[in-house]
Amino acid sequence: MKGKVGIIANPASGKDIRRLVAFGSVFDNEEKVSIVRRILLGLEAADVEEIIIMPDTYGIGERALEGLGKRRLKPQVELLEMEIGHGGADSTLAAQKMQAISVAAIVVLGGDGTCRAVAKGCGEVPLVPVSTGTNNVFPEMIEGTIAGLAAGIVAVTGAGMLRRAKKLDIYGPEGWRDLALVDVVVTKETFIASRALWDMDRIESIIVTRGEPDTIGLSAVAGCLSPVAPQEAAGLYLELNHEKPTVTVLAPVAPGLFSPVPVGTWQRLTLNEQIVLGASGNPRLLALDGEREVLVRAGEEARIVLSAEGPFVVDIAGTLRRAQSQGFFTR
Amino acid sequence: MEKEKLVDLYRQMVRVRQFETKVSELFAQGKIPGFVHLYIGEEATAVGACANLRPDDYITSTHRGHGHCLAKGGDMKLMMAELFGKKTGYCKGKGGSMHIADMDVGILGANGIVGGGLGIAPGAGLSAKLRGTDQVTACFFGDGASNQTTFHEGINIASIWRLPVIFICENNQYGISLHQSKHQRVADVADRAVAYGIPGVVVDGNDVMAVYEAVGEAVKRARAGEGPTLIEAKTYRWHGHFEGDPTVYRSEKELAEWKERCPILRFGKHLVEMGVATEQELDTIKAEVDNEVEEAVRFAEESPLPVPEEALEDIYA
Ligand SMILES: Cc1ncc(C[n+]2csc(CCOP(=O)(O)OP(=O)(O)O)c2C)c(N)n1
Ligand SMILES: [Mg+2]
Repeated sequence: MKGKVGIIANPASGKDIRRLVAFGSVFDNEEKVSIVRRILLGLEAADVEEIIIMPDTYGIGERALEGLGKRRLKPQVELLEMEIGHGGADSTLAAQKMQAISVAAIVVLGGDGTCRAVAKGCGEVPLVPVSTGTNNVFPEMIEGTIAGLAAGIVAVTGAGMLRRAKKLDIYGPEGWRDLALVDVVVTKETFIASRALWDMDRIESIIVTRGEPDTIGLSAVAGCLSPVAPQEAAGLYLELNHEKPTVTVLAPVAPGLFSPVPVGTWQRLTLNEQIVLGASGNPRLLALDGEREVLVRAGEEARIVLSAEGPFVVDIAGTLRRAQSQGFFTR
Repeated sequence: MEKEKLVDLYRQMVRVRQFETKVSELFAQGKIPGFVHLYIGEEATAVGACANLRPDDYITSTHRGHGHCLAKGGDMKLMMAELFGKKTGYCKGKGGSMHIADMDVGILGANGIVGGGLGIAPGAGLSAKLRGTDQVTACFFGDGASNQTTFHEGINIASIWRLPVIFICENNQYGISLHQSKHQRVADVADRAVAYGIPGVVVDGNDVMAVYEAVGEAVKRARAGEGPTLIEAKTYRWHGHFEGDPTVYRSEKELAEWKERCPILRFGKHLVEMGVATEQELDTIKAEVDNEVEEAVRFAEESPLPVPEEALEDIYA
């Protein structure tokens, strides 16, 4: 037995207004419990020594254990000691704490938003992101058993296959403000309100770290026009032009929601290149990974910088294949 | 949204807050008889929801109904008089806080029966459907009420008949003194929507714009004949379950944290930041509402009590 793995499951993912304005699936918490249970069993199979779970208001971790009945897990399982109930900030704090106690990997359950929150706190600890949210580009749709197994192999063998994700850093007059893993969308919205973004008329520009024709969400606009792969050292910047578009892109901007998006110009970004949002007479809201998040006040400038130094992500298939070739599954 | 409407959302929340703050004072002074359950802290939910409704739309309310009634266009004077038990009140002084109703503006009644509105709202929805109008009904209820059988029956019938009803669960985390985690195994009442084949959405109940947007979409669905929606607004009541409740079941810290998320302060601050309104304009609104509340109190105080001969009039059961 060897190694420590953290689990962060967001009890709030998969329940927002996108179930009304688009056709987002409903992800109830019992399903998350059941996924975490399978992750635990995957971690056990890999022979992990210790598992640390973020506590949450629903008790996803406790319930996952409870459902195992009399079966005792071999790894030692503990809830992270922390205060909860502060939304996305819980995930960031948990990631920080897990990094501080040197977990070898963190399994994340949620959508792009949850992964973003974790990325703000995990430092160089690799993530195994499992999709349970809505517009998901960053986390994979993957069976929990397999996600747990892969995270376990990373911890036990120290020989996981990792890749480093890109990110977009947002700077304001006072310095660094926030980050996005997939896209930053500049909008004319004035309220964070229900957070989601569905009205293309309110969008001014889109900046992406990645976007392919098979992705969903605003980054799909890039994907359907001029794709950028996750592993490419590039990004894309698109300016919309609602009056005189150069091209109109039909993109799946939310689950089940295709919108024609009028694009004026687009350009590839190189690493460390920045987009400056000049001061405007009107306030703007930046949506990060699909959620309205950062307010840029009237008269304020903001900079968005493409960086190669996002979180490390475990290549699940690659890691398992390597483990197989090294005889991990045979005795 | 245009400035006027934004500022009105602010005013409506202030009206609820100041009406109830006054009621709390008067109750402590013994000027208001009976029971009052205050909505302070939850204003954004009623106001954000009702801002999507037309005067001919309906609401069903609860035992904690002042916010819903004011936001739907109830008359503050008649409400205050009713709380005072005066003849000029909504129920001629015989009903009190939990029976305020006003058919002219679609208020189908506050309700002392927990979950009572969940039985009434589908009826209102069915009536609109049979009459061929596009009126909708917003049904407010609490987290505690979501364990009543009427929750199941109401949403079930509304879902099979695709009734134009918006079920709005105000999850303030307590049913009297019982924390939600002790009265139901789910943490999100919205999860229960799945059981009825309708959409369920969670929204920040202390963010008036978030509630406005979510209920707005649900109203569109309802008017278009697409059936009911369940919206869960996460919020918190600042006062006790009823006035006089010593609230030994919750911590000061919890209350303080929720007070930091005050829906009115938060929205006001944002309006100022975005240049929609100035601090001064907001202060003027508060002063105007103060006057409105004072007038309502004066009206109530100066109104006569019902006379004993009327005791058996207007009694249905
Ligand atoms: C049918 C019925 N059962 C019990 C009560 C007693 N009662 C009054 S309020 C309340 C709790 C309601 O909790 P919730 O629905 O969460 O609303 P909140 O008070 O939190 O707004 C109960 C049980 C009642 N009035 N009616
Ligand atoms: Mg309650």
